[in-house]
Amino acid sequence: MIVASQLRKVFNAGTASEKIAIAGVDLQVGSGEFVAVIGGNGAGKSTLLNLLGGAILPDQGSIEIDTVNVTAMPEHARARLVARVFQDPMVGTAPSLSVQENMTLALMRAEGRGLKRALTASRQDMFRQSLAHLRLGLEDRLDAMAGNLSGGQRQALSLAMATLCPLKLLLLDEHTAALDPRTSELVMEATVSVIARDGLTTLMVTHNMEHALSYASRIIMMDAGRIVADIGADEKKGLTVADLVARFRVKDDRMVLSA
Amino acid sequence: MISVFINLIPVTLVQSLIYSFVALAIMIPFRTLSLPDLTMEGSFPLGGCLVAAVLTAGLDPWSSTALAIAAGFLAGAATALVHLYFKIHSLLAGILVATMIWSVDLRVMGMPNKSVRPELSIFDAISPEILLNIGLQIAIFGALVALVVIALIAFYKSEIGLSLRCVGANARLSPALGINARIYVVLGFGIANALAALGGAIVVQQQGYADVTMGFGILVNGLAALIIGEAIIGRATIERQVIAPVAGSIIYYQLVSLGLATGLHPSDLKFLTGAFVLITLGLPLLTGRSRSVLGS
Repeated sequence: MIVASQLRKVFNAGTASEKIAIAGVDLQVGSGEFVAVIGGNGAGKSTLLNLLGGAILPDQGSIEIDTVNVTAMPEHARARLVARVFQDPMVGTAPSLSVQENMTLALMRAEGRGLKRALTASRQDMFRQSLAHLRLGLEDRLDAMAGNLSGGQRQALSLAMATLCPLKLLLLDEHTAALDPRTSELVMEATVSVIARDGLTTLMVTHNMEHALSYASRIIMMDAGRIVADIGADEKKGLTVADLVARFRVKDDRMVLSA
Repeated sequence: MISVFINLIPVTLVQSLIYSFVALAIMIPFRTLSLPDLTMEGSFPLGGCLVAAVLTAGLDPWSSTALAIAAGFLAGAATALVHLYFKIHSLLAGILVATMIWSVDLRVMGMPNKSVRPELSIFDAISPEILLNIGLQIAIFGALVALVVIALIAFYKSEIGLSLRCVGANARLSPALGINARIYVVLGFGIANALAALGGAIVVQQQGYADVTMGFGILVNGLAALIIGEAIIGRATIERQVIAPVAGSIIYYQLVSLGLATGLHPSDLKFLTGAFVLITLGLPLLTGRSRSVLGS
């Protein structure tokens, strides 16, 4: 159970470029829920994810993950509970390290670090299995540099890294937006299959209404730093992409285009 | 004139093995953390001056050398902390710390230079033969450098070492993977400058005196060595990346020796070394054939 209460975040407070990114958000996400976050550019979707992940800390409000108050916990400490796939394929992996080195780093997120040898045969077997589940051929490329992978493969690797260890919350920040349509579908299918397998509590920012409607169990819509609509599973059933766009008078071109 | 060079090969080899610690020290923050550091220009003489002061004050050579290494680690850690908490560029932070160390060196020694009798040195403690026999010196310094290289490679392949490489490879990613980047930057800068200080401590005990100016110019020499080494050995694997500065140091100091033997004026050396570094870095860009050696 994720509980965010009265969250507020202002950038450049007191200056001419002051921007209220999050203007009071209350959100409860039950265990195993898959929430899609939609909304126009500047609505506060990414800031909300950054607050939950700990990349930025809120000015006001609190965040609890399974009754642990993580409001002031720095990102690196929160990484035991929260994992994240970034929008930019360049950000989610370390390009000059190999696939298995990246996976090892993800493993150590939960296991901690010592002076033991990082790469071991038993770890390699585990990585192979975990990557094979994604069906993007990464299990045969353990020694490849992450920087030499395609964008889709890097996002798949990033997904595998995020979901390798048990976690309380998975954050997906438009993680298929930078990919071509076919690869985007492949990565999305891999994502859905991992989430279903592990019953992961997930927050997914997306501009793709199709994805939001067909995969998520709940859709929240943000505008000007607030949650302006919260559609549960029952209400979502009858909706089409056109309904969503019409209902929220969507101003964002990308959302309209993907409709 | 060539015969002068050939006669000097063993002496130059000893020198280059000692200075390979400086090249290694430049490589770690620059290549692994992607944060260039200049503190070696201070931590190298700090190691030397401190070891001279405590040896002449009567401390045993093992503790003295260990103290020098620890002081170098602290100097590097200081630069890293200044960079991280005061948001000062790592280069400027290194210059500040190195400049401040100059005064520390003078305080520690109480004078600008100090001679260290051979019998006080760590080499005499091992065997009095070492300081008299150049072949023995090559063997012992070669073994020491090899040991450091092997240890560094093993470290880079450990869990902590891999995390250190992640901080340099993708600073945005590391906290999301649970890595407290600040600790690793302090660790990387600390290890690098501990190695530089070890180099300073060895050189003082080998040549028999310390001087506050002993760090002047070592940075450009080390950088030239690193670039030569990477051009020849490459940096595609951890092994190559760690061996490159050592190999580069050995070649660079022989080249300098060759230049001096064939009539190069010693006072022109710094200009030529700098020009060499610039040409090596700039040539690939000017010819447009590949990316810069230093990358960006």
